[in-house]
Amino acid sequence: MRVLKIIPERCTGCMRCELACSYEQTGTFQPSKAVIRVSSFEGHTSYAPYTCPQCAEAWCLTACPVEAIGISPAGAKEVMDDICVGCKLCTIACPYGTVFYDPDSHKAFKCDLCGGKPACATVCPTQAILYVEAGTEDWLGSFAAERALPGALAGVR
Amino acid sequence: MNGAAAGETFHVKVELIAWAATFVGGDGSDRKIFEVEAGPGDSVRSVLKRLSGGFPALDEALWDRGSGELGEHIEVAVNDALLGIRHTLGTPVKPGDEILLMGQFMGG
Amino acid sequence: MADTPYAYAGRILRVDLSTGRIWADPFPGADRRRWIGGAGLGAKILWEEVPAHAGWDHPDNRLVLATGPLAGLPVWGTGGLTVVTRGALTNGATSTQANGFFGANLKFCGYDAIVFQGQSPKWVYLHVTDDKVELRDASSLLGKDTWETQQALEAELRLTGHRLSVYSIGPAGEKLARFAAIQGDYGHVASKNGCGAVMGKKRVKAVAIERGAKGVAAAHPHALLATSEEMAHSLKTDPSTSSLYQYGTLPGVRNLHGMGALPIRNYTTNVWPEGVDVKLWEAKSLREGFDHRGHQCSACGMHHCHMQVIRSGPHKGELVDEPEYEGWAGAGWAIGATDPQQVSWLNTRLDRACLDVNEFGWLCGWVMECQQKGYITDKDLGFRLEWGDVEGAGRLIQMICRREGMGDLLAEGVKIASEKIGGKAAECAIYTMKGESPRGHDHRSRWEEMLDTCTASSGTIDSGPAVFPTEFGLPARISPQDPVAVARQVGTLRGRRHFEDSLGACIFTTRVPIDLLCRSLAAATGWDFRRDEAIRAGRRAVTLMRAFNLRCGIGPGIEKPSKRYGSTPVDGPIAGVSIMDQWEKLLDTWYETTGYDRASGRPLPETLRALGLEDVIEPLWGAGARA
Repeated sequence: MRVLKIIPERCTGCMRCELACSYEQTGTFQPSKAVIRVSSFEGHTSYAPYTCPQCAEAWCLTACPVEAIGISPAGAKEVMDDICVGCKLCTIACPYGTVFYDPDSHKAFKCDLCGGKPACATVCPTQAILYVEAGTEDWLGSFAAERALPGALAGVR
Repeated sequence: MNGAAAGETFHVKVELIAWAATFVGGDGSDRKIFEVEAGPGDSVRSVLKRLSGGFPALDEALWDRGSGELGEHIEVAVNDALLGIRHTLGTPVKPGDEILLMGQFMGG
Repeated sequence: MADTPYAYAGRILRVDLSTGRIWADPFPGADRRRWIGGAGLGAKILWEEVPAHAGWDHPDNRLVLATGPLAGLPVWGTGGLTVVTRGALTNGATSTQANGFFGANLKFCGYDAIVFQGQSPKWVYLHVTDDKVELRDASSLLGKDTWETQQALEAELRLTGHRLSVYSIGPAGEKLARFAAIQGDYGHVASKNGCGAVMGKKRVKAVAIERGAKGVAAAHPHALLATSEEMAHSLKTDPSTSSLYQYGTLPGVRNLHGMGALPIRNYTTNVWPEGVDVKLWEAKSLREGFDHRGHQCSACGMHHCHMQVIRSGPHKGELVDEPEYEGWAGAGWAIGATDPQQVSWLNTRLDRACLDVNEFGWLCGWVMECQQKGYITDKDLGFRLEWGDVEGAGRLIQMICRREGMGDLLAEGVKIASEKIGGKAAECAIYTMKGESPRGHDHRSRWEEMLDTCTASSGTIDSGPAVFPTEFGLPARISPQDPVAVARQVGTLRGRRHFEDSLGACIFTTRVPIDLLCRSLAAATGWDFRRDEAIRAGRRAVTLMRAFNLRCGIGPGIEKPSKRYGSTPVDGPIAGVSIMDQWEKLLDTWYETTGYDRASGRPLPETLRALGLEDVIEPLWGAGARA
């Protein structure tokens, strides 16, 4: 499937992705509601946009107790507002920190790939965000599975 | 008298520096130098027209579409003096003349 | 947020430093359309609230930090800050800009502008996060330079990057250097007319704006996004901006040298000194001669603002902001420094101290020339300062910041310093008789800029370099030494720049056809907004600043350059050409074009009426004039 591929070296920290994303999410330009966020390391003039990698493991979907997270036609894990009860379990389950909770609406919210036309990739002036065909294997999956085995931590002091 | 004798052709050096060089295939960091053939009756204007005839991007940047006069994007100096001081577009060229083209004034 | 208007927050944050009172005033719809924001809004506040007797250092002076309708929207370069105040160099109106993330962060907090009045009894900084606005003790920040101040506030507020925008003054502002600037977000400077001295006098060390949680709505968001892409395309591909898009203002050094407009060694020559490696001063070398990374302003895709790391010399490894053209000129050519690595270091020292790089270039170059000629002795200065001595120039910054020794006089700027020293020293200083610093070019070959600087009402150029002059019915190109054509161009373009400076956007990203700007404003606000209204709004703002200056006693008698500033170049592409021979002709034509009165400098009543400034007629022309 096509997912967002982020190339942090190209990012100049202009935050235009957050503006466009928030517009898609809320109808106004309101970066506090964006589901792509740019992490800044100002002393190094270094910026790293991050958003949901649409991981195959789908931790959020698995964790949701009311089945409010489904998979959209674009392949995105999507929160269904009318089902979400705002319990935040998905935000805790997500190892990437890319499922958010909106205290105004009491709902979880996350990247839905804008229905297959992600705004962040469209507006990025330096092509730091690409929407491309890429694998969604979750490297944390095998790591977590290993850790979950009985006795896996036995050797750790 | 260093004018050309009747019928004799000569070359006028046209140098494009800095950003102006991008209009003739440069990357904006180097200079591009052309020896443009000229003869009696040629002016600064006709020499520049001859050069820009071979480079559509330069042609667009150098000339104002409406008036056919110089556009706003490129500055011109002849023999190290800005156009308007000792030369105009209509001034005849002579052997040894050098024309310099550079990007416009920007401020900042 | 239900009543929040399109493109605006609809509120102006007011801070009375004398009493500590903080409140929000509405920014009503009619005012928004009339003044737009930024420079327009600032001009209105200055005119209405600062009386003639309240000089730059008076508590009744206002310090307006305004943004505009495009700030926080996805148009490129829309973190815009316009500072409007009564400035320390001219003691008149000032409009000076910077970018970064100020405007965007402030809008997301729900304000279109911050207006300071009064004077704080102790040093404070203003902290804004959404509706929570506080004046906080700044004693721990005193003495810190602008970058250290931002770092300290980041640590205190536990925020990094653009979620916090900090604009502050460094030690030069604390000590009221008359050319102190306000610097923000690592390398963005509102630098003109001593606005940093005003902030220092008010005892405000910094404003720290956290990015708020509120939104900014656009009336026609899809049209706005489409227009912003169109603007981006224009910036990338138009011959007038493609170099800006790729290299910012870096190509200026080579270009301006070619046209005799690079100011070298305090206007004593227009030719590179022997032995300069010209290749190092090409745009590409200036960028790639350093390890560098993009450091863009809000929503901007220009490859303009960068951070760089110094590669060689005594400051190897230091992180600096890539100088603008004017930095390479002021911290470099004007003082005879020719090594980009050193110049870049000095430029950032100025940003961190919060000194205007233009005025510093004229001041330091003047000291160097005076030393060379013996007008200022080593004993006067305390050391020997030769042409191109960048470390010595750094020492001069420290002296100014501490007002130490001769630094106390130099902190007053080159006009006052040279007048005080007098004699032949007075004749080699570059300034305008009104007091504002010329920008970083040799204006003896750019007559339009010298005329613009000397007649300006904003503490710096009013019209700026021509942007698409044919849109105004002007020829695409004029002969640079034709006084009538030059003055007509400067006068006719009047207004465009102040319209741009009202939008909350950057002067470089608004370098697109004006109709495109109007369309983006229309999409943002929902207004039916056309070119004529844009120009009228810009002219209204700048004309009101002129009215303000006249009320303060700043008139046409001092609209001229200093002796050196208006001198005749001795070499280079404009050798022997004198602007002063044509000065009266330039002024005559400029006044005729602008609709201002040549004798008194006042905008004519019909000019004021045409701009909707009927209220200004009586204060300027007396009670009978209205009839």
